[in-house]
Formats: sequence, C-alpha cells, structure tokens
Amino acid sequence: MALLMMDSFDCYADAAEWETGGWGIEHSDVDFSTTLGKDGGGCILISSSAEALADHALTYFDAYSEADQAGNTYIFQGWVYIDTFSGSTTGLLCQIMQGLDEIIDVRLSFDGKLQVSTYDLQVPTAATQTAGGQLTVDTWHFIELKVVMSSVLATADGSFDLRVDGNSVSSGSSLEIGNDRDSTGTGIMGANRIRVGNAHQTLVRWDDVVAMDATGADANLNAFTGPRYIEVLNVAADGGTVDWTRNTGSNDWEMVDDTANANDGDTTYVSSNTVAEEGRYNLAAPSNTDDEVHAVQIRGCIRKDDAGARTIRGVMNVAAGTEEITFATIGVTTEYQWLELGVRETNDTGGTAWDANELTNIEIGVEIVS
Amino acid sequence: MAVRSTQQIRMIIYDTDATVRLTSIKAEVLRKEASVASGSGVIVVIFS
Repeated sequence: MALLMMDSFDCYADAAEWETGGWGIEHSDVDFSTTLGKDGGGCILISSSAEALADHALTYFDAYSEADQAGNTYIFQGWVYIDTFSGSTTGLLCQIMQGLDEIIDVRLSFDGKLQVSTYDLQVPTAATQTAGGQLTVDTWHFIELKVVMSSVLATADGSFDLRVDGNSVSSGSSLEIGNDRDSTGTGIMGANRIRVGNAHQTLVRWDDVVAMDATGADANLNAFTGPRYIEVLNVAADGGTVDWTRNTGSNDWEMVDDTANANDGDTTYVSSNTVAEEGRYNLAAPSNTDDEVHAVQIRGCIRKDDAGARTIRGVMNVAAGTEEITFATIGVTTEYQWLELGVRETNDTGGTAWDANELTNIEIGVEIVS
Repeated sequence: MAVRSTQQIRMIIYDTDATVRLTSIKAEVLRKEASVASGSGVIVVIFS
C-alpha cells in the first residue's frame, strides 16, 4: 500500500454528502463549498472562528491503519488557501494523529508563517520549529507534510519534513516522535488520522487532499511529488457490461452521469439485486493529456432500497478494458452515500504506469457481491 | 447451588432481496500539476 486516500471534494453537493465520503466534522464552523475549490469545484471551507474556539474548528479522515508498518512513515498532501492573516497567536492548520493524540502538527502564525511541532507521549519534542514557510493570502499553496516516527518509543530517531509548493521549508531529525496508545511501554507507533483545521480568525479552504505512506515502489505515490491535483471525470458511454437496470431513459450511463456536486438521487439511477451483475461505464476525456496521471479512483453514490443484506464492490477494466480489477467488498446503507469503491495505481496488472490517453479506454463500475 | 441460565433469542426478519441503486459514479484522477514549476512557484505558460 502506498496511496491510502484521496479526495477531490468535487462529488459532494453539501456538507452532509461530504460526511458520507468518510469525513468527520468536529465543529460547527467546519463547512463545505461546492464552488470555492482550487479549480472551481468543491472544498472544505472552515469559516472564521471566535478566537477561543479556533483550535476546535477541525475535520478529520481516518486514512491510515493504526498498526505498525515498515518505517512508520506518513505523508499528507493538500492545497490550502487562507483569506487573511490575523489574531495574536498561532492556529492549527493540519496534523497527523493517533486517535486523539498528536504525532505532528503544522500551525499558522498571525503573520502567515508556518510552524511545526512533533510529539512524543503528547509532549512536544520539537516545539514550534521555525519554518521558512511564509504563506501568501488569497493564494492556493500546496502543503506536503511527512513524518517518520521513532523506531521505538522515546528513541530519538524520528524525523519530519514540511514542503510548500515543492520547496522544503522546515525539517527536523533525531527526534522522539511517537505515542503509547497500547500502554505497553513500546507503543503502537502508528498513526491513523489526518486532521485539518482553521488557523485563528481567518477563513481556510482545503482541496485535493491525499494521504500516503512510504511503502510501494512508485515515487509518485509514496514520497514528495510537488504540486498535483485531482481531476474528476464523468462517465460518457456504456461499457462492455451493463447488467443493471435503468429506471428510465435510453442509456444506462445517462442515469449515472449526474453533474458533479449535484447527483439527482432517485430521479435517474441504475439498480440490481442479482449477485454478480455488473454495470460498467466508459469515461469522458480528461482536460488534457499532458499532465501525468498517478492514480485513478472510483467514487459512487449508492444506496439500497430496504434493510435486506446486500454488499457490492467496485470494478475497473484497465489495459484498454481487457483486464478486470475487482476491489474490496463493502456494505450499503438505505441512504445514499458517496462510497470510495477502489483505486488503481497502474493501468494494468503488469504495473504499467497510467497514461492520460488511456483514460477513455478504461471502464469503471459496480458489481453485486451478495 | 442451582445455576440458572437465561437465554434470550431474538429473531429479526429481514427482507433479503434489497436492490442496490447507483445514481452517480465518477473517476477521480490524481495528476501532476504540470502548469506550476515545482520549487519555483513560477507559473509557466507554453504557447504551441
């Protein structure tokens, strides 16, 4: 595993739909916009908080497994936008956590400088590292935060690196970084959560968020990459198999091609209650074929029509539609949810890198498992 | 000493024929931001 989670925020119509995508909202000042994203789509929108509440205007996603992994390295990327610098102290911008305990956090000072703190047993071990990072108001900046936890609790071999727009602005090494959630004295030494928040008395937007670890061979999916974005592609034709039944209209794909941020619920849909039935669809062309493609993820808005047991899984036909990939089986609720159905890091089972020209040749869809 | 055991059996009847509805599906594509020169913050526009 290397790429663990990514979200364009372009699929959701409102905060309620955004929550079905896996995000948890901790404060009423955390909201969602369908128009203020970096490229005009959706984004997390955290409004200006009362100063005393600023550190609590937070939202999170449990992107990682808390279990130990080789190197215990976690990487978080995302675009952030600040509308003004104000207040008299620092405010939390993002952090990587183990449950409710900090592993590392990035804060924004009242004059727009970034500060990094690492923690061991909840005690800062590299408090407010002076960063070279100076953000600019009303400008999207690409944040990349990497932390390598200590190999053993309270051992000074952890490190971190913070990059802004591709430049390293703050780093530290030989640090004690860890936690002790299992109270064994050695600690779990793993993280599970990314969290983004609101610096003091300002308005913060987050867009195109990505979480990775350092495993896997693809440097685009386990290390610093510099700025990148998530493009959402709609479906534009029926694929090779369309077993599911459309509720109206002439073509299945037209039932599931709703405008981003505006799914039409039960007005148009395809449905099935038969195990092994698939509905697969071809994609519309991307905006350009020059920008590299690093991964393709399926996200579907799905529900079941009563409480009976039913599971599904995402399917993707890669290699020009010749190889079918099936993803993990997941459950379905009776309310529509935007489910992440699976992600592919390569365009075939042999490991061939994605090519933007190939995107219109693949098929994405859903299969009934049980 | 008598041992008493109480076992409570609950029966829940489900409709086992739930139908799944898909109203929207999209691909999210992670891409390199080629229009921004990494490390410089300078926007490069190429006319061709």
